[in-house]
Amino acid sequence: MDHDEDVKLMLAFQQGDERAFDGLYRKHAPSLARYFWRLTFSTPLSEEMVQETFLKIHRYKASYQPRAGFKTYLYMVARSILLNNWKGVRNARQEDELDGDGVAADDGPLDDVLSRRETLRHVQDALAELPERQASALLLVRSEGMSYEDAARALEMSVPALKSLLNRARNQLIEKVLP
Amino acid sequence: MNCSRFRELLFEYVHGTLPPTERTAMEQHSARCPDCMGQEVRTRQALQALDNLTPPRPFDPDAGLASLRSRIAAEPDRIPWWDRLRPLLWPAVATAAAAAVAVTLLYEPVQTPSPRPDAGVARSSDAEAGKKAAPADDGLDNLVDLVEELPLFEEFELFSQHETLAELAAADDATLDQLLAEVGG
Repeated sequence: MDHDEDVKLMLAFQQGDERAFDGLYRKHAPSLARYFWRLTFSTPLSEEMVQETFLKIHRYKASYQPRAGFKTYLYMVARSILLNNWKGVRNARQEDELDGDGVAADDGPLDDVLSRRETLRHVQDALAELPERQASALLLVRSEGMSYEDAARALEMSVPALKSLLNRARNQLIEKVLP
Repeated sequence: MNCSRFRELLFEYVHGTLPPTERTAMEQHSARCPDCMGQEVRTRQALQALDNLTPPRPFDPDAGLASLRSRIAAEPDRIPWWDRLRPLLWPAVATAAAAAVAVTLLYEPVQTPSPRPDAGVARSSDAEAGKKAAPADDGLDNLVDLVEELPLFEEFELFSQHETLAELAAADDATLDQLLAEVGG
């Protein structure tokens, strides 16, 4: 059992230490917001889902059991929030209520900015077309730096199945981003 | 290493998580196979593009935490599940208490040191006739059967099991409400 620092904080929170909860929030909310944003491309939606995730963790603290690292638990809760809101996410995409692409106008020469914008738009499209599980697998391992074992636990699958999923996601990503 | 195996391991290779032996084999295969080298280059570019995908503005954890704290403060006090179950369990407890009294009454003739009256004498009064109609051992069995047939008692037994308690403690509102509805029904 991995009693990492975050697990200790979570256990302290379970015993009533609200500051431990605040510490967990400050540490993990920004990366969780990035994960949600990469799946929704909507800042309001992603920030709301961050709040929902931590609200749920706060509400059900009594049920927490340190079976795995805290980050694994966090992303399991996060995915449940995401899947509960999946219809809203898809509607937001269809209605094009999405943010910009994260490339600021002063990020370099105009040609570079436009080229980066085009590439990133392709990445957005590719992620949007991936099944949620494939996209989550890619983001948890590649973007959030989770180990295969932790990501597999968060996605409730075996490590070989996760690796196979990642490879399919990689294939789709390069087909879309670099046609 | 063949092309099929190379593509199978390509994500792990580019992500930098392959063990040294396999990494070397991948490098050697890529060096002599232009198609696979092309796949490798494209994978590196695609993953790099993914890495560059960032939200237009960074998340502000201080503002987020202040907002979350307001929401937590506005949350209704959550009543622990055992307190929510208590009103439903009282009938079961009352039934069990009544059953205990009944057992005591049924057992009374056996517990008394005086000799057991024969059937003819026992039927001399209605009350004694009731006791004799259900011998003590049969009465206890019947009572257990009766209590076990009560749905509420069955649920009480269910909730008394450790695993179920853990599940209940972890259950969300909807699940808990559903369980309560089943118990209540």
